[in-house]
Amino acid sequence: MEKIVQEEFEINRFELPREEAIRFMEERNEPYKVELIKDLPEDAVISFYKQGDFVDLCAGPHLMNTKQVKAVKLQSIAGAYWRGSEKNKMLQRIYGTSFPKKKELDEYLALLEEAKKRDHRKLGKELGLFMLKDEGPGFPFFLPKGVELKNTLVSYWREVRKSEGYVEIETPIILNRSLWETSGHWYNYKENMYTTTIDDMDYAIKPMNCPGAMLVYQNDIHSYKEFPLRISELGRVHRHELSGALHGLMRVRAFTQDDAHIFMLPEQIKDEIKNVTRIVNKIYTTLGFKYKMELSTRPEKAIGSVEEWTEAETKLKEALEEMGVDYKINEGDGAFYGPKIDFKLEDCLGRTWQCATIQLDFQLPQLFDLSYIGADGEKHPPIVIHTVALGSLERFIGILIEHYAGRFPAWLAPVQVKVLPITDKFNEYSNEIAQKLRASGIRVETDFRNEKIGYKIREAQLEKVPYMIIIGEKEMEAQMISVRSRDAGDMGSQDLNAFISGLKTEIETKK
Amino acid sequence: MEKIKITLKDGSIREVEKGISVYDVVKGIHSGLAKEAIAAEVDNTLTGLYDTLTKDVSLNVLKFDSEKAQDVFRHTSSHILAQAVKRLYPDAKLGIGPAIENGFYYDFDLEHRFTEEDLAKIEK
Repeated sequence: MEKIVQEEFEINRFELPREEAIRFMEERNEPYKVELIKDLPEDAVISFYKQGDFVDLCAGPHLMNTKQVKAVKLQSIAGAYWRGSEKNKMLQRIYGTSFPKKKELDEYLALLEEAKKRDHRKLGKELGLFMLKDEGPGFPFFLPKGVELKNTLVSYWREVRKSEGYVEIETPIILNRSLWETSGHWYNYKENMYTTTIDDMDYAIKPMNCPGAMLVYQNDIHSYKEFPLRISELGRVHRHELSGALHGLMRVRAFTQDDAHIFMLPEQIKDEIKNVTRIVNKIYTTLGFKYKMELSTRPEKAIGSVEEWTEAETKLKEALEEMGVDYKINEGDGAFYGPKIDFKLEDCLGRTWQCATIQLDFQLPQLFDLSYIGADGEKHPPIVIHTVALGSLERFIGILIEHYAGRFPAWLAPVQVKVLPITDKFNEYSNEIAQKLRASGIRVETDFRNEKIGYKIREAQLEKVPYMIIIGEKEMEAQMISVRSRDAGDMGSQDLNAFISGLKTEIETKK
Repeated sequence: MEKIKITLKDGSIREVEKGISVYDVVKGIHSGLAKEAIAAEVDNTLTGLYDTLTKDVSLNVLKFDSEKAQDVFRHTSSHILAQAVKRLYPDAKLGIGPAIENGFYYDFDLEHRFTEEDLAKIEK
């Protein structure tokens, strides 16, 4: 390939009529190309691209000259069925990447290497966070340390949402067909839903939490005085994905979504957008993520009047501008049921992930005939915002694992301190220390195995535990502890209570 | 010579000779830009720089920082891969070879099984 680049072939396009095109590829003994041409519609323009002696059937466009491809790397080989069908012959697929400059290629390859080291599937296994089994493809199992991590994240999420005035509900996983007909999922989303039959009636496992939340809203008569009504739900949803699309925790068939539905008056939209943005900003900043905001506006096919859309979009823009945030507008990229603001999170490798979103929904109040009693004593439909901060909790944890490369800050770490006695003579004292730490709300593990201390330390390092406490003769006599920090190394001899209070501050401030 | 009007992204308009290539228009704007240009959008349609312009159009030059330009760049790369494979293995039959996110691939039908060492040879 380097040679072809150096030969600086000009790339030229030409067209052939159908019959000639077929003959051309037959003469070149390219049966697959012949098949592709034959499958093109009768009136299709059939174009070819030529570089030196090489000609390929192709719609283009292309570069002007092969010399522009200065840096190439072939990465892997895989089997791939012709046209993606297992009835056809398996071909050999070569994957590669390329850049205009060698430096860009090198940077990209280094990034890939780093991402590989941080792969959440590898780290998830090494750190005992989660597992995936053939018995449940796309349905991850969370192991004790993974649950600890998830619970810590959830309790933080809860604390932030509560401080911004949210209440929390739980709606059932399985609900009947008539609800999904009302929401439209039964007609528009059925191929992604798992269904079942109970007492000869059709039911579906929820792919989204919204319909259940609407039933909760309908359960009471609401007054404008209650608004804004902020209802959140950590709901486990199931969505069918093709088995080939599944990927660790990033793409699964069952996940927990940190949903919230906010019911409000039109004049409250701006404040609510600010409120949600505050929540997302707080959580992302704490976790060390940068993010960008994008506003998507009315698509061609949309429900609701143009005035409704314009009014809502104006309010979203005003909210963003009043907060002084930089944002990008994606014209016409909103969902058919309302404009939205997306948060594009950037991890420490510079990769972006779509997680948080604020979505205005003109359709839900209509479908579920929602209303509130206004100041005029009349019924009105509320404005509904649907929002998530983390999105799929499972995916978010996958992102966190890769972002931190498994080295979670102390407040998030499933095990915060590991106590390592040098020999079994110090087990009892070590146990006392572990108990005191536990009593202070610190997550502790002990390693009482009959192994050399060097080995125990190395293992604790691999587990990426933030602090190790090492106990031997000297420590027991002086009633002190020896501390080793994952990030700062040997911290010397310390008083246990001083260590506890320092660590508690570190945890509380989420440093 | 007949003239046509090219409207650039910043709203400015350039008068050029009819039949000029996109590349020559870009070169006229800035020679540095021509070095970095990968492809262009002519009236919002993705176009190669070798294409000629025959009527009044809007023109947006694409550099490697745009995903569309990356696709064009990687698509040409896949053709170079196919050309290299055909040089080394004239019996290889070509399948398809598109650009994908962050790269490209090409499918080949060939008796010989490719190895890692082969990839290094093909890269040369």
